Amino acid sequence: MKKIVCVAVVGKANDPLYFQDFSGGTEENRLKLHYIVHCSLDIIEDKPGVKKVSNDMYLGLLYPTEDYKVYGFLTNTKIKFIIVVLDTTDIKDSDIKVLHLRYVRTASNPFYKANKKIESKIFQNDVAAIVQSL
Amino acid sequence: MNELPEELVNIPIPLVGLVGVNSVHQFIEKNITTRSLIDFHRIHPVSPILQSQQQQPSVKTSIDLSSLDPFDQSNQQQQQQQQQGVAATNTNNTQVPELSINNQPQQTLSSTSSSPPIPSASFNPLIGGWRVQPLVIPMLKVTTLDAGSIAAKKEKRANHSESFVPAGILRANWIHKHTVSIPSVISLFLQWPDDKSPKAQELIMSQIDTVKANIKQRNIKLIVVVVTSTPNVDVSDERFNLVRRRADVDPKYFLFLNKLEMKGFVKKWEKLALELADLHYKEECQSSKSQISKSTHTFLLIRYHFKIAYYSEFRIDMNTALKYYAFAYHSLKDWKPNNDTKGIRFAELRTVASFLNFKICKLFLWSNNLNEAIQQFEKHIRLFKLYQGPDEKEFNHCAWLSREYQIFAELLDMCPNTNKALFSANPGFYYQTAAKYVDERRKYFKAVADRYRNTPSVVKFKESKQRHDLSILQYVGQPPPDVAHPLELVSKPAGKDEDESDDFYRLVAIELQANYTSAIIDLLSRAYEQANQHQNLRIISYVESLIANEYFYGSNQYELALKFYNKNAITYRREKWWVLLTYTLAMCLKCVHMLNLPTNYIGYAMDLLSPDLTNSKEQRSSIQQSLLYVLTNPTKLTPNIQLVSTLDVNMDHNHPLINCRVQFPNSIAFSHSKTEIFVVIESHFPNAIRFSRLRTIFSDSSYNKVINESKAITDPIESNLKMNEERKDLVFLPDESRIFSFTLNTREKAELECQTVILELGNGPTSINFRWNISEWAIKSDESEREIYNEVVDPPLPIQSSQQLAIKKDQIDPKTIVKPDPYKKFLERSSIRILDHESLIQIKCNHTPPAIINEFYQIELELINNDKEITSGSITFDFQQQQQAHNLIDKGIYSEPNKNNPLSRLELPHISERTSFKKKFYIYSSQIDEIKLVINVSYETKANEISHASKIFIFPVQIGFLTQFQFFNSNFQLNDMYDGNIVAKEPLLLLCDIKTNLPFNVNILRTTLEINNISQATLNPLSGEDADASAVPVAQLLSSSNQNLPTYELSKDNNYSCWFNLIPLITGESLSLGSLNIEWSRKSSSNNDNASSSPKITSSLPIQLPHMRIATNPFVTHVKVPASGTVGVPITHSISIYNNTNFLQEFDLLVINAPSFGGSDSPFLFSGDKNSTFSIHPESTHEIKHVLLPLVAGKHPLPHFKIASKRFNKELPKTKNPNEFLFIKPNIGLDQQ
Amino acid sequence: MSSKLGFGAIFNSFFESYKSRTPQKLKIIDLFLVYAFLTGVIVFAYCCLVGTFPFNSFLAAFISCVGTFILTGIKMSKKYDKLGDIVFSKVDKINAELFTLTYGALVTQLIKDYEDIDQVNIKLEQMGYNIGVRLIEEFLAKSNIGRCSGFQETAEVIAKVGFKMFLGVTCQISDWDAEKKEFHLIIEDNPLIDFVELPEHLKHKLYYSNILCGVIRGALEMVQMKVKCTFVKCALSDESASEIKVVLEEVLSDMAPVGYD
Repeated sequence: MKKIVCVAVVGKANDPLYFQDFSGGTEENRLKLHYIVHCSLDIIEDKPGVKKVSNDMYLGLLYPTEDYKVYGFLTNTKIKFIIVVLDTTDIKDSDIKVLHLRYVRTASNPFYKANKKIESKIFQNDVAAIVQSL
Repeated sequence: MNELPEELVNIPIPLVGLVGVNSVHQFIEKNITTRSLIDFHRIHPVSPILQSQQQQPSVKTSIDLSSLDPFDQSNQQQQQQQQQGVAATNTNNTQVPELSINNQPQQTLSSTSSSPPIPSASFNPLIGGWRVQPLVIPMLKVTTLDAGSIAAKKEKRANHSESFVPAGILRANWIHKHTVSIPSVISLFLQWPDDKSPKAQELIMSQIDTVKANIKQRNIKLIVVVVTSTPNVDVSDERFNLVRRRADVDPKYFLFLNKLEMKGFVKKWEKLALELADLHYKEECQSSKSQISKSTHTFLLIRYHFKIAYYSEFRIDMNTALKYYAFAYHSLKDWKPNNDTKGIRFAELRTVASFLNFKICKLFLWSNNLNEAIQQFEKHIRLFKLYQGPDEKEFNHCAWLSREYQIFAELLDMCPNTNKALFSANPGFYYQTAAKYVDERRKYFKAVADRYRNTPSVVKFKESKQRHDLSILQYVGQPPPDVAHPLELVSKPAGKDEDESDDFYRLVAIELQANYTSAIIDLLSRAYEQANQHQNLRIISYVESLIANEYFYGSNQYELALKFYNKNAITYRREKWWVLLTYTLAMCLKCVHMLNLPTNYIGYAMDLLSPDLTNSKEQRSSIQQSLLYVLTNPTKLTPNIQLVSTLDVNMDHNHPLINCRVQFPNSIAFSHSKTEIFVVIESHFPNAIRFSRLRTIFSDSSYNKVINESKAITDPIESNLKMNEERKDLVFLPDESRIFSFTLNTREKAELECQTVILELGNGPTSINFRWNISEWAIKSDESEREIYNEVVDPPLPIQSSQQLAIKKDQIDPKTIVKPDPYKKFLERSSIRILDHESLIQIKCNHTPPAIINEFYQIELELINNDKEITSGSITFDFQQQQQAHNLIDKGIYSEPNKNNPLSRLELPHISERTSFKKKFYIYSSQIDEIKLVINVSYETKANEISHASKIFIFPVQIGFLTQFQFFNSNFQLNDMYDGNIVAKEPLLLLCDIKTNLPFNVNILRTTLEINNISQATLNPLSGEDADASAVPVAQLLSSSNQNLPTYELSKDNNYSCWFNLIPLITGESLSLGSLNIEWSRKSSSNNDNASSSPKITSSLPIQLPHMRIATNPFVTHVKVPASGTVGVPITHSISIYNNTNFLQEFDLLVINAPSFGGSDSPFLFSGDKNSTFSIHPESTHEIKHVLLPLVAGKHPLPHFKIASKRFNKELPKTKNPNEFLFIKPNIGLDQQ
Repeated sequence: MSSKLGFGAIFNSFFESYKSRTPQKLKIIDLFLVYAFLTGVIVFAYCCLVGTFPFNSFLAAFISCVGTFILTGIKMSKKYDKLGDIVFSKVDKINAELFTLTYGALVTQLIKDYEDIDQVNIKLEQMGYNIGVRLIEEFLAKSNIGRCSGFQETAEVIAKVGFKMFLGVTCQISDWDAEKKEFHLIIEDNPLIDFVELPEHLKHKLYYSNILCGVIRGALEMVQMKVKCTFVKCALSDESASEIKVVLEEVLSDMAPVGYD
């Protein structure tokens, strides 16, 4: 059973569209997660430069922190999905793909304004479900 | 890196011992060839790191380390565990002295080394006193030994081999031994004696023996060099063989050297030496391999592997080295210490592990195998992450961890060839982690420190520093501790305990002096460097935040912390990471609070209050509360922070917390009138807040307005307030936006601008003023002017209505002032233009359209004065010319119905209030047109207020009359002879019909026909040469009807006609015979006052007759017949035809009897030819005569004389008419005769 | 083993849904079918055991049973469902996402234009009406359905054929009132509301797919039925399923001149 610590969707302008941590940790822990995700954006920005050839959106393991691993997924519309998992586990391409699909559903909700924060309950539930399932 | 023993870091060089001739030794030592490579090199003995972490204990188990790191606690424990160690120890003790001889130089070095503190903070590429740089190192290291010196090692060697149960993992001095004291090869130099005495021979032999005896068990290789003074020695000398056999060395290694060819010799010699060294180490490897067996204890296993690896490092065979280090590490990993309560064994393990790890990682990195290295390191960390052992020493473990990270980071950092693109290869990350562990170490230590701080046992080590330095000496060459050996643990005398704890106390004492912050900051700033290199801005800001945190919490250097937090805040605001931003701002707030910067405090507080941050409502309301405290009673806040002086906060247009918008309802107002200004303020304070004053500052300060709040800001807010209700106070409920409207009494003409709105919080000496400098963004009146006009499209002016210019209108009625909805966006207009006193007069024009061409069109101007009494003023009239201003049309404004005195400007008389001023005037236009008349009135009232009013009137000008002309010939036949031409020199009749389409009736006074002369008649006047002729009239007016007809009132759709009889005199293509001149006057329309007031104006309207072709008649015919006859009296009937043309004209004559007496005998006797043709010469007349003798009385039709012109093939018009009658009288007189 | 369990599960779920979904009438008919089938079996068994002595009688009995069974089966096999499928296959389709998104954009734009939500509902309904008025023609053309015998049948047609044809889904009809003038259309999966999630302040105010009401109204009006359609439940407002209430107000008199036929 993989333990996903937090899931974040980051928008075009690198602003967080959605951030949910499942660590249930303390306040500073949550803060740390924010920091981690935010830092990982740097890596994402480098990554495509590093592995230009690969055309798939899955960035794989972005970087390990001392007790987390961060996985990233970058769509061509520069929407970034970042998943932080415990050090012991790892995430596969498919897992994030699922997340992506959920996002697509949410984004095509006519009442959702593009590149704004995601408040959608459905999306949140979906994500929670995914996290449980993994 | 300094925590590692120097030997470990330095790359090993094979050691060759030289025995015999010292002079030669020096020479060789000088001339040894070198190889160059890139590796660590110690620049200066102590690094900043060492400084910063000076007291940080290191758990190295090696002497060499202790030489670097004076306060090595583990040495302590090891040491006193040493006393109860195995037999091995005392033998070790024996060897101390002469080892120490070799170590002496290094000794001094290290002891001095710890003293000079390098200031700090120049990191790259220099790390912890180590630097990676191209080195030049000798192939061989040579030391001079005397023959006996190696002796001691023999039995040491022996008992080492037989210690089955290893006391520890690695012998501390082992590396040292092999790099410094134990040579791999010994080259024996024999000073060849000159005398051949056997005695000398004997000496050499003995020398050889001692050496051989020494090197035997260590199987150190031997080179024998015979040093001869004479250039040529015969090799075949018997004694050489003797010596060689005694030394039994391979002849290859049996050399001759005479002082003269030194150079070449060194090369040769060193080549051989290398060979042998290599051989030696290989054999060593094998030997230690051979000792490995299933049964061997793990420690031995590790030790052997380590040795093998190290040997092969001697042999620059890195792959093998790597392999065996890996083995060693592997087996280390497998070994789990049992009942290791004190964690001592664990300490040893992790130390060794960190040795191996270092070696492995380094080798990996140097072979440019980045990922392997990283994996290795991660494995290493994962293995030793969780600490086992007594809790109070856990901080120690953290120290170790952080150092591991640091070392690896430095490795990565300095490793010459890695691409740092991969994040996990970024040293910064490891530095950062190291820093984190330092922090944890502090955490762990805290409890311990509190417990032990003042316990005497600790205190007694307070000044322990010096003693340690001394103590180093005696530890040199100590073997690694042996504690965790099960047997020993069991049988450990109780006496050791306090030594144990004693040692721990020392550790604590040291730890107490540790300066964590500098360490952390140091590490972090390295990480910062790294991030900087790779332009990882976000990571930078993360590191910054860490640094800031450290400054804030660790060492309370708030201003530094604030600096970094600020940078962060900027970043995160840009990136819209509200959570982080919120946190950062909160920290900033704390900082400034600590620093007691009230203004900044307020600033950050306001930032934090802004609604888009993620902090909870409670937090925000508490912030608001504290904000109020800053103003009112700072004592509530700890530490106190108070606003000393009134603070102006410049707000921007739409500040998320409070924003303000102003609007003048319209862009212009008039002096001495009222206008309003609306100020909408929207507050998002988490709680209801009561401001104390609202001020609006205008460009003209006399307009400024203020609203004061009666209550103090601290007073409780009434609970019964409701959103969006009109209130007098300045209380803002959360997210309420209120509209305040001020009424301004405008004064004189000016451009009034609302420059600033100031909302004051806090009454009393100090207050926060939120200022909005409206003028910077809001729209000025003139900018908004345009759209004002647009919304007032001037409607098509209804004639005969008084209408003000639209703009004025919409200030007049107040209902156009609509309050903007405070919750919606509205057009902000910060300035208003105050115009002159608005004119209250109405301009009217009474007239009855349409105007008629050539009419003096009467208009009555009426000014109704709703204003004060008008003393003076003037009216100006002007035509608004449209583009195609054809000047030839003459139109004008006249004060009288004639052209004598034109009117352009008119002085106003004295008009008293509520009266109206009337003036008639006339406009005249000679063309169909639409006259736009602009009337400007400017006047001055008794109150000397000048004001203007202007208005445009439009008058259509029409002909007004419809006329129709018809020409008849003399016998009222519609004139169509010769294709509707008019026949010259023949009388014709002209009928004029006149209609009007005017809405009113007109009186036609007279209609006259003016005959044109030629010049007028023709469209294109003749050229000058017959100008006299042009004066000739075209026609002659014989008579005209209704000369004496009275004035006739012509109403719409009935018409007025008149006849004219005239003879066209000349011929022409298109001539208009004249113009009909209608003299008419308006029948005074229904409203009789108008009639009475206005005299009859008769205006005349000339209408050109249509242009006709006037042709001459080719033949002029005259018919002469008497009107009556008498029976029996003959009558002559003659027709004379005049040929008017220039040709000979031929005619047919045919006489037809009148049909009435068709068959029967005709009433006449008829003479003359009935049917003939004749011709007439030009300009000549021909006469046809017939004689008729009437036979019967009565009315008889004449026969029809039909004369047709051949040329025109047409019957002459005169003779055309079929039935002419003749009256015949009966002849009475004849009867009487 | 596991497979057996699976079967069990399947059967259970089937039975559940059967019990819940199937209208009462249908159940009765099914019951009758079972009865006929069983009789057939019994007869057969009898002749197997006892022997076919009065062969003709046996034949008669058996064949009658089987006949009844088959004929009823054919009769009651719900014709409109089939028809719906057929028609649906006939009409040409568009991409569902495109459709849904278009509609979504429309609604949001409406909301932007008039802030008043009720206004939006009305507008939607009107649009629907205009659509319906045109749509009915095509509907009648494509699915050549003659006059419906009664309002119930109409309802059936709407639910089974109409929705199927244009939205690709069928929907249930329930709670008829006493005099069969009012029924509820329950739309389980309404393609209009895929992806859609109403923001809180719109819930229970905006009837997102109110256009459907309009369509129904318009369409029925063209076939001389004046109905009133209202959303009673909307899946978007956290209710079980969208439910449209259709009330027949009056049957407009046919335009045919009086006494014409």
